Amino acid sequence: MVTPVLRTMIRKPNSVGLVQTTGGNDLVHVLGTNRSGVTRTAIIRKILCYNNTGGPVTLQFGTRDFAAVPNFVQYLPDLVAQNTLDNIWTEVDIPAVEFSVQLLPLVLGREGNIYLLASAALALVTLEVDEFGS
Amino acid sequence: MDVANLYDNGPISCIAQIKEHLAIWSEQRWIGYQIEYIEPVPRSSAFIIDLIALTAAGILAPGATVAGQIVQVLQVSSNELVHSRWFVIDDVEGQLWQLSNFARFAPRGGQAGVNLFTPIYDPWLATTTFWVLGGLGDKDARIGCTNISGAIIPQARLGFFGYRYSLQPEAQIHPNARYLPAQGR
Repeated sequence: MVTPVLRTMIRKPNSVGLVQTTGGNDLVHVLGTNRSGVTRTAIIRKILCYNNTGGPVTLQFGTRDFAAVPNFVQYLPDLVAQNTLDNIWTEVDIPAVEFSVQLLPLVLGREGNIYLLASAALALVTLEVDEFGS
Repeated sequence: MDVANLYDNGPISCIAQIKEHLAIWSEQRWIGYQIEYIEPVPRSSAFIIDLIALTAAGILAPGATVAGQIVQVLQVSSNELVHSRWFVIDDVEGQLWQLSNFARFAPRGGQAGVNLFTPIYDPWLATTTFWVLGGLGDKDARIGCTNISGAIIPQARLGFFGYRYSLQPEAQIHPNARYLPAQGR
């Protein structure tokens, strides 16, 4: 007997692969969309950042808001990647903020895809995410 | 040997035994057969296909589709029945058609598929079961897929496993025949 699991996910690497920050708004992960056009949602489960830029780099994860200027909307609190360290955050450390087309914080016009706004260029970042949907 | 119901929610097993009788729905009628031979087709590398490689597409863009392809390992000979379940390895949704592009797993409202979420809800993949009967009209399966991952993908791998039955046609349907649908119309 298998216990029904009503809300299920698949774990994936971020769809863009290894991201080298630019100091601007960098796309990190694009949410999957099923054949009916329904977009999945995602929760970040692991962040790995190698920083050799010469100083600490602040990482802000969020999405784009089509109405706001600038259009980056931060979802997670700032993370600070120390220099010459492989900085790792796992799901123990990361709140289960769900990236969604419109959901957070109940405002229309949010893209949902995961973006990274770093305080400096040339830090290297990859993620693992759980995607929910079908 | 245990004999399963057609879409049992459990591990795949034969739907009848050697020398038992089948009535198979194909070409809009029931046709009688006796089973002469059964062999398993376990999950194995030869039955993993990559639709992107098969079509020499190179990559598949987000939302892009590989149209239904005839897959060599699923082709059937005359009086042969393939009983298969299937799964995807990459983040795509697979679709099943008959040779004539008649959609399978298709209620009126749309065509269902098989994706990475399917075995979460259905661990034995029972709802992915299909049969292909060789030798008559609309035989052979076509398999296609859609990239639902949100990313460009280099591979769209799908796998198949199940049983192969060799059949002997019968002039009449045996009174104890097991009824099963091989084609959707």
